[in-house]
Parts: sequence; structure tokens; C-alpha cells
Amino acid sequence: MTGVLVAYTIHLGLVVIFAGMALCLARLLRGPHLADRALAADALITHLMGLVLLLTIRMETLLLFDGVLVLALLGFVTTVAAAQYIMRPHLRRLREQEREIAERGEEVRP
Amino acid sequence: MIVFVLDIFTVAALLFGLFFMFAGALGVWRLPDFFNRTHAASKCVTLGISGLLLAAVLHFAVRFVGPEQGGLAWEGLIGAATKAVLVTVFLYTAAPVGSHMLARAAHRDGAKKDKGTLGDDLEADRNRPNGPAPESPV
Repeated sequence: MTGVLVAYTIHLGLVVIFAGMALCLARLLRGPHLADRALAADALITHLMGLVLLLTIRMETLLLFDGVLVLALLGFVTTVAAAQYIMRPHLRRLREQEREIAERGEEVRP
Repeated sequence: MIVFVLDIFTVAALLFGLFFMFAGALGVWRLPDFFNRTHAASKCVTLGISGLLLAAVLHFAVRFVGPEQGGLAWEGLIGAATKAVLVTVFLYTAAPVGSHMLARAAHRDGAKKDKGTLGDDLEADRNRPNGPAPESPV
């Protein structure tokens, strides 16, 4: 009896997750800054993880649980790469600032 | 009876996770500037995934050690629980690190701030009269 309840909740969850993916995709296409797009891509990958989890519950198999772990790793690597890419044009100025601070004799905070 | 209770808990965990996931997506779309959006994305979506993981583990508890299976197959439940713990630990350490790096890069790149922003101490440190304050890259 309650198995039907779980199945209905999973169908509701598919609708909710696809709606969330549509919102994230809209932000990905619109986002004024590059960081907005990276953030939206990260949220999109997280929604994909949710989708894989719902599929795991629906199909009653453990095959796809590793996919969740892989997607989590992929999302983190994507975010870090995007952050480095946004930071790269400013790195030379940061080095100059560090040299200036070292000449001034202040200690660089970790 | 135990199946009924576990199913109710599964549905409750699913609804919890779905609510937070949709709240995170709505925040990513509706909030005014980047720094508000990263707040919504990194908190709500992480909480939503942990809710869905809890639901999956509870469902595998029903599926594998319920009375229909004779209470035999513990391996499936243990595998699901181990992977869920791994994903949770990784997500709870990676999400703050990633969003902090992204927010710092966006701030350095001059992402637009909302009109209602109350203060920006990092910017003030950078523009103080006797040169920029010491600050770590990335």
C-alpha cells in the first residue's frame, strides 16, 4: 500500500527536479557574470545527482549509487576550474601586491 | 508494520530533500546578485541532496531487510549506507570550499553587487590609505 505512496512521491519529485533544472538552466543562459554561469552549472550537476538518486529508488538497484559519487567529484572539479579561470587575469596584480607588501614588511595572512 | 513506518519516513525524507532542492533552484533564479545566489545554491542544494540520500538508504532498508526478503540481504543496505556516507562527507567539505573560491574570484573580478549591500570589508581592506592589506591569493 505505501509502496504506491513512495512511487507517487517519486513522480512528484521528477516534476520538482525538472522545474529546478529549468530554473538553473535559465540562470546559466542569462547570468550576467561568468561566475553566475559557473554557479548555475554546479547547481545543475547537483540536480542531476538528485535525479540519479530518484532513479535509484525507483529502479531498486544499487548500480547507480557510484554515479552519484562521480557526479559530486565532477561538480567540485568544475567549480574549482571555473574559479581559477575567473581569477587568472588578476594573478599578476596579486603577485605585485604581495611583493609590495613584503617590501613594506607586513606579514602575509595565510 | 515496520515496512509501513519505514515507507512513511522515506516519503518524509524525500519531501524534505525536494523542498530544499527546489528552494535552492528558486534562489539561484530569483535572488538579486551573485553573492546572494551562491548563498542559496551552496546551502539549500547540499541539504536537499542529503535528504534524498537519507530517503534512498531508508528505502533500501525496506527493500533488503524487510520481511518480504526474510531479513537476509544485509549487503545491499550496508553498501547503500556506506556510499551515502561517502557522498555526504565529500559534499559537506567540497561545497563550502568550491563556493568560497568562486565567490572570491568573482569579487576580485568585480561582480556587480546589489544596491542593498550593507558593507564590503574586503574591498575596504584593498583600498585602505597606506596600501592594500595582506591577503592570500585564491
